[in-house]
Amino acid sequence: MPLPHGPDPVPEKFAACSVRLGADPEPFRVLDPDGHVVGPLPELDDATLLALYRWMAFGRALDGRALAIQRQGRLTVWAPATGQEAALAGMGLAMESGDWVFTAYREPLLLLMRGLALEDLLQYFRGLYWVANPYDTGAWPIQIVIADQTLHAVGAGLGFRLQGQPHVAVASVGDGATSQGDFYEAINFGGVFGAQALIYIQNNGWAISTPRARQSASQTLAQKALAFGLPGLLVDGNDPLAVYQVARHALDRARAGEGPIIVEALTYRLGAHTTADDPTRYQPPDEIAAWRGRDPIIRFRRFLERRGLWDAGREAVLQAEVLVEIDGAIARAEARPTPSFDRVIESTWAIPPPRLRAYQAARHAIDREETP
Amino acid sequence: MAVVTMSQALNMALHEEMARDERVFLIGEDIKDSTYGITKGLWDTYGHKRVIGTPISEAAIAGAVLGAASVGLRPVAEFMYMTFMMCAMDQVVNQAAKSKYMFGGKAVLPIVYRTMAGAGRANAAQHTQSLEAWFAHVPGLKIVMPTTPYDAKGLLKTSIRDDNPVIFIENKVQYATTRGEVPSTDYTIPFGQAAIRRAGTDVTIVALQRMNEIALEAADELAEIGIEAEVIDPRTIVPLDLDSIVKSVRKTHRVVIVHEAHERVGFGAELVAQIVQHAFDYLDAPPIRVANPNVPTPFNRTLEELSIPSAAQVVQAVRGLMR
Repeated sequence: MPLPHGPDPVPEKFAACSVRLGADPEPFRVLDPDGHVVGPLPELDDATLLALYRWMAFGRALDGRALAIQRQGRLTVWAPATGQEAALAGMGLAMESGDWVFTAYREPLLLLMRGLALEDLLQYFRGLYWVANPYDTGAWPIQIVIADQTLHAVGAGLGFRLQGQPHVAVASVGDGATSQGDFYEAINFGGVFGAQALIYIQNNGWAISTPRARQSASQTLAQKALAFGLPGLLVDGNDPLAVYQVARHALDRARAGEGPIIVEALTYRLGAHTTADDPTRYQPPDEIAAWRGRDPIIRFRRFLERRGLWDAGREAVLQAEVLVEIDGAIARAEARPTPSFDRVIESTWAIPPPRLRAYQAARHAIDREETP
Repeated sequence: MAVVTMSQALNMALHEEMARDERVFLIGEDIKDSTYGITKGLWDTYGHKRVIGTPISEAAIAGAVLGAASVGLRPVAEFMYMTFMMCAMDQVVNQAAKSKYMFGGKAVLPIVYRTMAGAGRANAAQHTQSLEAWFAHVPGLKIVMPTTPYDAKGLLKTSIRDDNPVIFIENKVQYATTRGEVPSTDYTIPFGQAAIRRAGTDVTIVALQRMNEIALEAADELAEIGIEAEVIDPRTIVPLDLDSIVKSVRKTHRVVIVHEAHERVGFGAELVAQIVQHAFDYLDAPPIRVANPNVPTPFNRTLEELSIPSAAQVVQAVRGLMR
């Protein structure tokens, strides 16, 4: 039976992880949980493999520091991605210069890999506006409204196509976003217009306290692609080499103007939704234990160790290095002053309307009175 | 100078801006064949890459243009009826309006959301609402409401060249019935400049779009009984040319506001608040609003016409103030 998504079937390598009617897809996998090679390795040199590991370790360390300083009141909020480092770093590695990414809030690692400066990102989590120039980083500000960015990515992907530009827009969403209307309008639009976009679902099992089973009766989230005439691929989201290869394929296909693919990465949120909740109240202990056994960082580290690329000594050096880097960025972010309220007005209006100018003048008068 | 309809004036603006700037493209439902004629002929000239008919998917239209604008295009999106914008409220209000702020002011998001409001074509309650006040409430959106074909062309061109999201509201009765002289030359009209449609000394009437035509009718009737009304057309409600309105009220000491939207929390309420704040000592009578009396718009043509302000109601309101 031909694949339901028409004349452009996925390559043989991804056939088993491709969603289709009447067959259960197997997530694409390169490494087993112990780091043994069980699938086709990507063509990546040792330096790139080590850089990939460094990003994953950086993400894990950043979560630790960010949670600590949030508890001290130094960040407004933080959404840890602990357990999802492979899903983020594999995608970050696959994207190219000129591509854009439209994320939710659990993807700092992906944004940093796209070139966003950590101190700029931390400014945002200190409650300030987005200080980075999106045209330099190709990163749209973090999206807090669930699934909205799927439409922005599809629109950007349509824009690339209309302008004949060889770029791809990546929408990064969670499992919860697949229950929103905007998600469906986006994938429908993307399919109709062949948008140069990639719809990336990180299924981490939980949308705050709502389990995956409460989001949809669909067996997989990737299979939603079938109804919209798109390919859908399932990947082990805790395997960075698998995520990289699937992402690469989806990006190449979109870049070539063949339309979006929906990629579902199976992963797990080994932490809270954000600093505002306590996951031990809803995540079952045996489920957490099972996923801790599939930790993406341990898996990849064991792979590197077996290839002779990594050892305990290097790990200790790396851990010390990333903490220095993170603490430096925190210090630089905290050294920046809170901007004046004028900046809020001027961020909204290139030329503030008369009423706002009057408001500014009145505020300045109060400020002058209060200054001794 | 040719006399054209409102539809033709809008069509001229789109034609000229698409010819002027290849980044400008149109996107919306049924725009190739153009239900109301606004986008007529554009597909033939500019092709399927610049006149993009979409699935029936308003949230997608509203959201996708943000992405397209962020990578260098200048989209002009169409919502066939303003009521359809309710399906896209999150993208318009939470995303388009706030993106410039969320980007720390760095975003260039040259988006025009064109839509059609107003009663008078028997489209029934769910296709007939004037929701300008909802959008005026949200920081980050400019709101344009042209009344004449001349203004429609000039203001649409200004909207397309603006680097921020603009909601451009057209009145669907005016498309075919409102005619005026429109030059074929390139011109723009700045936002935030009201037009004095008729000079007068006894009462100020501030009226939007088709209601401005009603106000002018009423002014003629009032002149016959010796009352000279000054009729003002704000043209854009965000930004608002409050100075012109306040100046007029300080001169006439009385004001009536006319719009098709529901009276309660309509844009007239904001105007009354501003006028009272800035011309309190000049008022000889309380400001009055003439608007839809807070009922859904009836489907039946006779009842529909009764649900929106008439010249007789404006005359009645003014006479009440003159006692």
